[in-house]
Amino acid sequence: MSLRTRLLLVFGGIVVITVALVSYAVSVGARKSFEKVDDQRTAAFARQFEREFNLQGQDVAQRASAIARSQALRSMALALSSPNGDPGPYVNLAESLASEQQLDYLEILSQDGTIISSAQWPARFGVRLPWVDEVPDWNAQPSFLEYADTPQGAELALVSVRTLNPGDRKFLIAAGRRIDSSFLQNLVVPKDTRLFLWQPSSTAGALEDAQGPVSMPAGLKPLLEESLQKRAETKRLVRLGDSSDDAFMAHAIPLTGRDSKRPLAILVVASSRGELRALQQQIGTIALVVALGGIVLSIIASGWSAGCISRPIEELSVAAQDVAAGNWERKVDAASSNNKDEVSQLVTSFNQMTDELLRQRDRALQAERVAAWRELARRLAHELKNPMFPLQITIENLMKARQQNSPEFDEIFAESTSTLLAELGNLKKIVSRFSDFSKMPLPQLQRVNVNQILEELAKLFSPQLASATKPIKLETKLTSSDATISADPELLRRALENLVLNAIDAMPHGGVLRMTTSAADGSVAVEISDTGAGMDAEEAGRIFTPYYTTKQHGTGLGLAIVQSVISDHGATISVSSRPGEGTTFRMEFSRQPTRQSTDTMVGKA
Amino acid sequence: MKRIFLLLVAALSLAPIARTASRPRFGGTLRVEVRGAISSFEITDDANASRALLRDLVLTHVCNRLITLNANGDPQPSLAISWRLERDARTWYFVIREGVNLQNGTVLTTQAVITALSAQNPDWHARASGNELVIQSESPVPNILYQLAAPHNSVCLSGNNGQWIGSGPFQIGDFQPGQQIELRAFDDAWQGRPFLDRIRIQMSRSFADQAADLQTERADLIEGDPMQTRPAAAGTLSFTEPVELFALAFTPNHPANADPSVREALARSLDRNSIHSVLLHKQGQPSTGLLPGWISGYDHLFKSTQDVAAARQLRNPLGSLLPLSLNYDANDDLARLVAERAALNARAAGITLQPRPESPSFRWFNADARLVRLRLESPDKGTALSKIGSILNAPKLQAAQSAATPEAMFAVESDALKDSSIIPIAHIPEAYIRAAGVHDWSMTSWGNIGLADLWIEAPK
Repeated sequence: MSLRTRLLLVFGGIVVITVALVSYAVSVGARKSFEKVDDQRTAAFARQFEREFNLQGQDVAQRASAIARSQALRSMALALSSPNGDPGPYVNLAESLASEQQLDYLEILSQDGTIISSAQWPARFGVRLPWVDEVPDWNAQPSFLEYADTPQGAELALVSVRTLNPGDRKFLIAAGRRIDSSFLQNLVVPKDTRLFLWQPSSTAGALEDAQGPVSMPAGLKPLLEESLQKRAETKRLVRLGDSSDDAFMAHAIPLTGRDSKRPLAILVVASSRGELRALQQQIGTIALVVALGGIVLSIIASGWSAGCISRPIEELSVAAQDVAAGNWERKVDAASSNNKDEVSQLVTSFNQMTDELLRQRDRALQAERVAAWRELARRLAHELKNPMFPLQITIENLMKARQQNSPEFDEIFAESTSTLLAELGNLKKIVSRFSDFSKMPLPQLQRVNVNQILEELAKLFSPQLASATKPIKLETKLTSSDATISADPELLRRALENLVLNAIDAMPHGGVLRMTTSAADGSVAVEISDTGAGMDAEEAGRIFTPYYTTKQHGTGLGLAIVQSVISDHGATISVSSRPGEGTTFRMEFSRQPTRQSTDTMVGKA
Repeated sequence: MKRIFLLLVAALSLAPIARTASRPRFGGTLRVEVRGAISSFEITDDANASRALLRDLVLTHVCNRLITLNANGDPQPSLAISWRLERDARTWYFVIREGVNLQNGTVLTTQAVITALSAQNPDWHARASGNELVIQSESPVPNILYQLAAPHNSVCLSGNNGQWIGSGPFQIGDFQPGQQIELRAFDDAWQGRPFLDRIRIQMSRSFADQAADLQTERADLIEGDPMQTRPAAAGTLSFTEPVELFALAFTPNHPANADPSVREALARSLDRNSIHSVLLHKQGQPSTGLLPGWISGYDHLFKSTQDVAAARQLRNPLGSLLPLSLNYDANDDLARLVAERAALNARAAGITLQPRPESPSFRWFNADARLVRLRLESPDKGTALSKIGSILNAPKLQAAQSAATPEAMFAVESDALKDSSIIPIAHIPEAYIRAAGVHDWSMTSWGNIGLADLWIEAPK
């Protein structure tokens, strides 16, 4: 992965993580703020409910007191105070009094709690209510919640009890107003807030809102039951519908009766989470936009910083690759980086390194040249010494024969001169080969198709190979890709021909001669292989040494010339061989011309 | 002397007034208001007392019957001038009055009588034999005279628009279903033209509205609330004997009513005394029999004491019970109170009874029981019991037509009440209040009103 990509990932990751953390923190903060506001709103609403409850309770108490003071009730009380008082005629009295006072419930009770008249259930006369004895002074008791019995079942009511004491008897008036959706309608409900009243003990078990009975949302029931069980205010996030906008933070407030023990009803204040959700969505959208923007900035920043940091490093990297490829004169421009930072120091060091490499190479070349001349001189001395000795012996024999006026002098003279001429011919050959080797011309580079040259060689040698006593099979496997390289066609041809001749010489008993080309992106490879005797590693290492040969004939310069030609083309030649398995010569030519060849390249039409 | 002279002068001066007050006057429209309402002219069994009262009132004055009952309840000739029986009261012969004009201009025929009676009495075989009407029955009908005197055996024909056409003193004039019906005097009535020109009956009027109209002289004759011992409006209050029966009637073959223990437990739980003393204001009587004491004479033989413990004992082994629905007339406030009280009593016994109001425009189907308020249309035991049986679909009570003795009648009634399919609660009277200008008022103890002889003073 490149430095630029890594920098991009780092910068981008930092931006995204930062934005995500910030948006999460903001979202959490917003939610907490909403919850706080929601709690405050609910508390305010509960206070409003309590206020309305107290107002209604006072109103009911006043009406109950008015009924207790009414003439009709006093007349009844007086009539029933007599020993034979008949409550029958008053069975409907409560209904008319309740209608006058606009009360939903009214019961007139005797001292022991027996119903004399009931507005909501007239037929209930004679039934005794046991709770009348629980409070000693009902006139001091504020209004309270209670369930009123009706023919339709129990209904939640705000009840006030007052007493009437004509003489030594006591009568009670239990007046009440229904607590249902109409009560909820009197309350001012904030926007996006829903109000519910649940009466668990009512006959219908109804859940009501300000508009009337509603079906129980599945998400609300557990909250209600929890509040009922705990007898305390409980809140929970609930869903009141199927869509995502139906999420509400619901506060369940239990409403207790006179004994403050068992909740008689649960008031639910549910605040919509729609606004919070919208805000969170907005935060998320902004975060996304910021993150995307941050990523774009990261790309820019990474590009710029990569440019500032990685370009010099990239240049160094490319320069190092050049140097590794052999271009030791490659330099990096020190002006592209700051003068004082580590990168510029690295650039300076690199340039110094390449200078040193050049100096060492020159020294090595010089030493190599000296060594090569020494080796050449040694070789030459060795090669020349061989023919010199027979020359010397022959001339000494001739001188001796002349001095001795040998009768075979003519014969000796002819033989000696023949020997002298032969040896001189060898010397001339050696000198000629040496001269050829020393005067190897530089290649005149052209665009040359290697496949074409090999095809020509195959055509040239095929008749010879086929007609040999031990035939040699010729196989060519030439690449279908472009095998064009920059080369001197004549020199290349001679080098390849030399290799083919060596391969033929290596298979005196027949075999297979293969000529193969293959192409890669930047190079073309040529292989000449045989199935001859092969050679061991030591021989393979010396095979390119001038004058080294394993053949009976030859000067030992052929492969050295081949190596020289290949080297002059900027290519490489290698040999792989195993005894008994044959030998393969592999040459790799760069498609691009070499620096030297670039200077001498000749364009080909 | 002077004193005698002054007395004579005073007597002479008052004589015209007295003569004027006692002399019937022809003409005028009697304005009657009732609670009930009818929408058609059908003679049917009706479990609604107010509607039955109105229907009987119209039938009595538009159509005649073969027999009428006098104030003592004894059969009197009407369209039948004489009769005889044979075969232990299985065959009856009636001589039909001739020359009776019908309100459609025709004359009453025996065949018309046969048609009218056969429609109401499918078990009778009626035929004409000369000028006699022969009625035969497979079982004895000793009380046929009382049955023929009952309103449902009025001889009525059906007119072109379905209205009754009879031979009575009044004929049907303007009819607005459910609102008003006007009866016009029939000049050619065989009994003679009535004093009144018209009787205009306003329907569906509550007690309070009727009282207000009487008070403001917009009505001459109204129904009175029998629970009010003192009339709410100025006028003359007349009570009948207890002729209306409050009872719980269970729907036959209803799954909820399969176990008689439930019904008996309900019957034992009822506090009739409280209902009578409080809700009924001690009017009428609490009852456990179908007939009031003044008709049967044996009502005391039916026990009426509330026994909640016994009711619980009957109910507890039954385990959980579904609530029973109890329908009552939504327009009857008294019925509502009685139904609610019955539900309260039932709850004490562990039975849930759910009162449900029912009106012609909204009827509950498949009710477990109904609180009925029946009108007993005859002072005769057999006739009244058989009519109750017909209304409440209690076939056992039809045997009352053949019962000849009180013992037999008691057996029939006991048998019908044995399985508690019908639970009597109370008998209450009917009441009427007439304005001061209404004269010659007559009403039998069982609520039969005679308007043909009634006259009203001219408006001042």
